Amino acid sequence: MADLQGSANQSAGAPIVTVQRVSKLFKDFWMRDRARAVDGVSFEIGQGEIFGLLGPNGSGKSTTIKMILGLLKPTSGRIALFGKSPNEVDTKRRIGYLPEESYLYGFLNARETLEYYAKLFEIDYRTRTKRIDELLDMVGLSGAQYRSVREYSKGMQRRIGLAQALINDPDFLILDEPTTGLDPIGTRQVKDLILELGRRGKTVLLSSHLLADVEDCVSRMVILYGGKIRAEGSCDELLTKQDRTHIEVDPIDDEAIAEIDAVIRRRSNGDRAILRVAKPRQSLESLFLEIVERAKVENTSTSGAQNGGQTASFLKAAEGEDLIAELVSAKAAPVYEPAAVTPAAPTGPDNSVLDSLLSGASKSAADAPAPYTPSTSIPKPGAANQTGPQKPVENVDTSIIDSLLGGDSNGKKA
Amino acid sequence: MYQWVLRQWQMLDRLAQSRIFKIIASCVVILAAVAYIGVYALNRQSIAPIQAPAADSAPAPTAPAPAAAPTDAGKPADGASAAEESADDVGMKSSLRAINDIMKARNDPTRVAVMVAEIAGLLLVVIWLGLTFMYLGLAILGILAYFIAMWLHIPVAGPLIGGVIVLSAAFTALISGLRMLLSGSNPVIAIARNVLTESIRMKASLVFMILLVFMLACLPQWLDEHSPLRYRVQTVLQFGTGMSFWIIALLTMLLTLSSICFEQRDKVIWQTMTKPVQPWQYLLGKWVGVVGLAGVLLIVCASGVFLFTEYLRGQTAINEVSPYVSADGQGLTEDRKVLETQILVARDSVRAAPPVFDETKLSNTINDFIAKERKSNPDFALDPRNPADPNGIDPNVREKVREDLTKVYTEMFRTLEPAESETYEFKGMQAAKVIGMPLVLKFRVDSGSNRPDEVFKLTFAFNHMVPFVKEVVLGQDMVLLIPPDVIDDNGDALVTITNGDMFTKIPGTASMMFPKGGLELSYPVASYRENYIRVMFVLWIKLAFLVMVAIFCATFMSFPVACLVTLGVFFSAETTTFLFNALDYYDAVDQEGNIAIAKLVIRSISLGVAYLFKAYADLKPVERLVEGELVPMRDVAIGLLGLSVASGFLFASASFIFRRRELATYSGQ
Repeated sequence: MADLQGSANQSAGAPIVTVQRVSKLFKDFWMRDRARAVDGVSFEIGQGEIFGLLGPNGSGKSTTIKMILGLLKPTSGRIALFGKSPNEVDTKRRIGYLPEESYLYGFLNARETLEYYAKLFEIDYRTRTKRIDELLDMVGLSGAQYRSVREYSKGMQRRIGLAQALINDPDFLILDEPTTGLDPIGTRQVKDLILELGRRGKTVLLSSHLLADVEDCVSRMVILYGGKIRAEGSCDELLTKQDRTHIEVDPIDDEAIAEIDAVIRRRSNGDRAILRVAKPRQSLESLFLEIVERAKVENTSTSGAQNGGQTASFLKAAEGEDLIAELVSAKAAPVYEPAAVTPAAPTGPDNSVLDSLLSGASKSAADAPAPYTPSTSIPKPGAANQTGPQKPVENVDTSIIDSLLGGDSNGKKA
Repeated sequence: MYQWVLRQWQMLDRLAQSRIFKIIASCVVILAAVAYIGVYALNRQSIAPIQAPAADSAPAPTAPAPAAAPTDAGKPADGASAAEESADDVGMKSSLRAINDIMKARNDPTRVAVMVAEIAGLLLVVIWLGLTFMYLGLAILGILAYFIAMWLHIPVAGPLIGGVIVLSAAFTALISGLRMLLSGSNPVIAIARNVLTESIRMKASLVFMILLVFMLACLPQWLDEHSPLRYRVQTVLQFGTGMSFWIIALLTMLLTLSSICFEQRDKVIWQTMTKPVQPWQYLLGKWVGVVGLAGVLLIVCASGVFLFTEYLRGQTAINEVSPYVSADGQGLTEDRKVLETQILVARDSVRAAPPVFDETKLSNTINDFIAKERKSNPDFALDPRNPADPNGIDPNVREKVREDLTKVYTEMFRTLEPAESETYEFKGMQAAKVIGMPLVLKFRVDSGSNRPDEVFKLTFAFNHMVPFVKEVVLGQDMVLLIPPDVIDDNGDALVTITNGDMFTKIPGTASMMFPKGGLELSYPVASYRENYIRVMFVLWIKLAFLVMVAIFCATFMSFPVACLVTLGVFFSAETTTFLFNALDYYDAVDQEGNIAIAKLVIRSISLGVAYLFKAYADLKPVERLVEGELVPMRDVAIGLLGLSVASGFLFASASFIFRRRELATYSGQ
């Protein structure tokens, strides 16, 4: 853990947030210890980073965020925001915050809500009006802007909450469970927005227990449990499985698969084999998005939030950079195409292969996996979670694919 | 159909908001106002002033001459000197001048012009707030409701509907104006405007406001039209202003507490306090918003009460055939006179000076009293430092005896046995002499159980005036108009009062007493309207203080606890005068010098509380308004200073507490 804490202090740029050995102990009315929500947490968030704060419910994520915002005071340790105390007004001027639930004035409508928060930042009338129009359009609430917020669904309230967090074009955005209550479209928009802000050099702190949300966006993360940091690093460092190789090819028949399996066995001296073969399957999210897009084309009306428009222009890069940003985003943005073959957990007869593999890398010939039997087993529902954008995988053994393609075989036999 | 009406309404609303419409409508209003004033000035008939009656002539038929106050109920002395007769004439002329001033003010074209200008001004405000068609709509609704009520034979509904509509319209305009004022881009202003919006849209606040509007609109229905006009006016002032203040105070305190406490409970405050808002800005914003709302509500209530008072003023008083015309043709009736000279004015008053005791005689009396007591109780008041000395006196007991004797002698000074006379002095009335307006002697007589069928005859004798006899009923405030000439060059006035008719030599039937504060001489120093504005300002200051108390409590207490504390402070502050009076009779030390510890503790706490709210309690704006007493600028300034200091201290403390508070709570499992 000492190593982890040490590496947690490594941030990409100049630190925007510095959290040093922070603990938070809650006491009851009689000053008895009630709960230690955060226990000696240290990390830094650098300029332009999209930083993830992960953990199950009650792990200390929200408490850490509230301490960063000055809503709670640490029992011990130090927190600095832009090098200053979290309670400094100048610091708050550069922050946008979306709490884990949208705590809004129910008697205001969406427009009045944004007006109110904009005025707290002393934004002048013209800028304010322009931004409010853009944000309402972005979050898809232009049509419901004069309805009181208390009549909104939870998702609509999240949208207006997100809009208020962006009203000041913040340098540092804190999003606590931003996708809770949002439909897949809203979720995608939030993720797009986070990436867009990241490209613009904004710093984002994203807290969530929905790991897929975080995985799609963040560049670095810490995982909390019981108020302590349990893991820390970049997504690649934490997520890449070094002992697996994933191959995606055009449709091939069972015979070709068996041949590939044979090649792998031969080259690994029987130690390695194909563990699982599955047909690619469209994710539910993709299906949902397709249906909504189709309905939109057919002009079907809705009383709730509409599909948001583009990211508000004041949140985007300056004109001219837009094109570059778009081109960059085309590569970097999460892929919502139907997922390719995923390394899902094998089912049925494949379990024996997996079990044998798990028993050790250097196995005797008697323990070698059984020859591959073509299977079209359907992945388990849980596998859908793994259909997110694919991260570039480092340290991949490319010799196998080379040999399949008839190129030079640089692979070494064991 | 509904959609069509809605579309038409939206179109009218857009029209009302357009600049060209506002300009045209403003021109129409200004032209109409000018035309009305012009027509009124041309058609106005001047009214001849009332003349003093000639010695043997009948009253003039067109202008009945009233009798001067001191003589209308009394009889001139048979052997009055020529100099005294001359002084009586002076008093008569002075009274006539006051009555003519009243009649002249009533027929002054400037008054009408000012009234028309005020109405036109209000209309211009409405036009520029974009409320023209809303007001027209309200008026149409009101007229419809009135005709329906008449059709259903509910005559009471007419004034009620009218009152509700006028008050609602005033409230709408003022709130719109205030919202316009609070449209700036600043945290304090934004928070203030948000509170204002909250107050209008939250049901609890709305209930209070509707209650207030209905209470004011219903007030005329509660008046007994057969009772004296002055009582009706006093009832309206007392309930209209006093009850409005209480309702507004409760509303503003509860609104403040709920706004701050519930924002913390519901966590809405997180999103405000994570913006660039200092704790003091947040609290100040809340204060400004609620105090602004309180101001609007006070103005609405004040306008309603003021207009209704003016309406009542134009009604027939007791013994009048028509307003300002008495049935006996002798000028103003007693009812009208009291109303015009005592209630709908702003008077400064001087109470009869307390008796000055001869210290040597008083000391001897105290020694005699102690000596008398020692005959039955030899240990009475022995000096505890030297108990063996039979002549030594405990200084504490001596002081206590002195206090008791002083109290008894002061009451005796105010008490008149049958045929007994006493001279009372009113000091420091130079200003009244300079103003030259008639003085009002207000007095009240108590005797026994104040039987309503009992009448006393008192003889009054002022400097330079013929003594006169006045019949008085018990337990009620009575007034006499006195010429200002009774004030001597030092600014003092002396009156000798005899219990009985000194002309017929018939003494009073029993002893009688003027209660504490029951004998005072007052004189007008400002108009009722000016005084009313001061009263409203003082009430506003008090509300601002109460809102700050609520803010202070809400920063660290939960809603129920904060409510209890704030309301406790409010009730304590409002009853401080009563507390001071009650403490006069709640002594922790008995006559023998024994101290009751429990009583001492209670008295000390009560005294502490009473002094804490002294600045608040001493203002007494509503009581003064009802009694027609001026709220002096000095008192307003002292009250403003005292409550500002207290509010400033509370604000600083609240900001400090709020800054140190953790706004978030533990939300984990």
